[in-house]
Amino acid sequence: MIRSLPPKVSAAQFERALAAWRSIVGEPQVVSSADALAAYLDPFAPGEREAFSASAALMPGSVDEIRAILRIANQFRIPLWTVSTGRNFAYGGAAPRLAGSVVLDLHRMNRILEVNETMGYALVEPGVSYFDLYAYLREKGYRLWVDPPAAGWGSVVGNTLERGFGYTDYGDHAAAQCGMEVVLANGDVLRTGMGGIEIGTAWQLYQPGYGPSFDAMFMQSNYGIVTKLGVWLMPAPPAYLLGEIQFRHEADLETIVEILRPLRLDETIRNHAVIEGGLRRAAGLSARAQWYDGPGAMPESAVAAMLDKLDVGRWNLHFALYGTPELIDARYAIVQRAFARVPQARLSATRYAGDAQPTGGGDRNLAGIPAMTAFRMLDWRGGAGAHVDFAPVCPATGRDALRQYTMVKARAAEYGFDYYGGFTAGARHLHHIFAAIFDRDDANQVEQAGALVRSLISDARAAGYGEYRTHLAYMDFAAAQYSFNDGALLRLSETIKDALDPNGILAPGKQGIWPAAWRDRRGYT
Amino acid sequence: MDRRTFMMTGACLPTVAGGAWPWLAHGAAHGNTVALADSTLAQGAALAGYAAHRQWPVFETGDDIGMLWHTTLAPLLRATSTHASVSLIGITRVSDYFVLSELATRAGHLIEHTREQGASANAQPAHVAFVFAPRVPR
Repeated sequence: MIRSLPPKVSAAQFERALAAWRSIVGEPQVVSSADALAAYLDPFAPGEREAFSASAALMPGSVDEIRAILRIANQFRIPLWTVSTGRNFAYGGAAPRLAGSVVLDLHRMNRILEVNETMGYALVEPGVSYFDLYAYLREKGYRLWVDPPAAGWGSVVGNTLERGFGYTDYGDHAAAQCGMEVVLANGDVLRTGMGGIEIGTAWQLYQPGYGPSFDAMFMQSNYGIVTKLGVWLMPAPPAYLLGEIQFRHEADLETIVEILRPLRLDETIRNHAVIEGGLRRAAGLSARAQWYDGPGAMPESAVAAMLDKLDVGRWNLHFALYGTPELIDARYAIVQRAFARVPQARLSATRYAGDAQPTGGGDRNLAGIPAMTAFRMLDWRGGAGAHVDFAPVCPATGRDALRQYTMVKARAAEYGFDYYGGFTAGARHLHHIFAAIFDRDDANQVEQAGALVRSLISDARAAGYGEYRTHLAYMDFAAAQYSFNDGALLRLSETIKDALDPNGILAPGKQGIWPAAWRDRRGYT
Repeated sequence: MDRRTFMMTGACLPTVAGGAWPWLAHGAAHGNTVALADSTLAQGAALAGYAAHRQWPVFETGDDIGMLWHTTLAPLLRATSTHASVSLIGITRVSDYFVLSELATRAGHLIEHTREQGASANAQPAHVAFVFAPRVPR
């Protein structure tokens, strides 16, 4: 691999910038060799990995070092791409959108600054993973839970800023965020909300603060570098119940969503319940070759035989109830009654005392325990497994869910991919997550996966749906779908970008937002 | 590799683990060795037996390599590496290898030494045999 240069920067200028950065963070914290930079390539890129290659990586250890790095970046007009721990796999990993950007890797800033059990929150730096925070809470004996996403090694800050989600009652990570410290492109440091009062004690308690609230502006954006973030934590419940309902038929999806929505709206079910497709469930229990070894997507007959053999539903609803046993009993009775009307639905549930832990990875997520079992999906297709995700927002209606499912499944089959997906339920929306699983050593599969997701984005837009998150390769295309009034939303985003970051040094192209200096680099729309 | 090391490792492994990875035993010939095996894989079970024979600590991957890393492997490697160099050898399924390699190399003190991937067979997932060796300070 040949090391790239930042765009529009000469080798001599870049060497001067690197020397300046070494003097700030120290030689070991500057990565500039081609070999070492391979760690910042996206192993799951649905295309050429080098299209998103970094020219260097910097690993600051403090806010002051970040500010000093920014001075150099502004001086030389070198774009930076911030990552917390760089594990945003399926959406780009640690790789930058604009090739030649310098990755600002914040994993060394990994302090858990505060945990408040009484108020139920933590204040953390970007390098803190869900595993880290979970271990810290257990070690110190705090009666608080984390809400891990599917991959527990992710950064709490990074996942929250990407609007990731988990599976407990605190599953909406952006909604459970309270207070940020942000370094702007010009080096200015601000604290949002109540953090504006230095000696205050409500920074992690009251989200809005006084006047305009800016926290959401720093999510999925390139307006600043978040260096501290407050996150609300769920008090450990006295008991909980993990339930699963298996459904036999594909068309049951419509009924499931229609029954689930009122239960989410009236908070009988408060967690991010997951409607998991049968094949996704089966992939955690077996390898594809065990059931089908031919070309193209698995035929229906093979899928049906697999589900029967593994005793897995066509759809599998996972939900959790937390609280006192009395409350759990009452809510569970309502859930049972509601789903009893679905023919051939099979309900099972396990009750846990507060300190008891389930064993399976998915169930452990529902119990606030980080896990990495979700990555077993990489074994599904064989070879060097990888995946790229398509993640449209779906209204929480049965009609929309069935429509999206049918659309995605049919298109995936055209490109030779199985429907590996499911829906995570908010109250009024569903996150529909479909993963195109491919062998990254198979050039044809890589190409087909890339083309499939592009087609899916087009299909979704034609039906009125948009993505909540995309891989680097589709950030411009996904942004372009939000086209009301000739793209007024993106115009606003770029107006703000130019005002805050006139040299365009912070994450050019993230979520399709390009600063004036790099607007000619916008990709396929 | 000298004759004694070869006899102790490379010659022994083929009989126990099918002869596929003499380099794996070679990679583990220096310093302390920790073995990781997925016993649901035929090759993993063979490695586990070999590691036990050599009296190396051997860990079963179980169903969550991430939890194993955070609760067991990382603390063990941290504790041991303060007074000796530690190699981590193993045979796991591809997905677990991917997660482990990210965790082990990002932690800083291990680099990937050698890796070899095997295809899936007999309804078993594909496997990876690997050696992570200590990073040599330059």
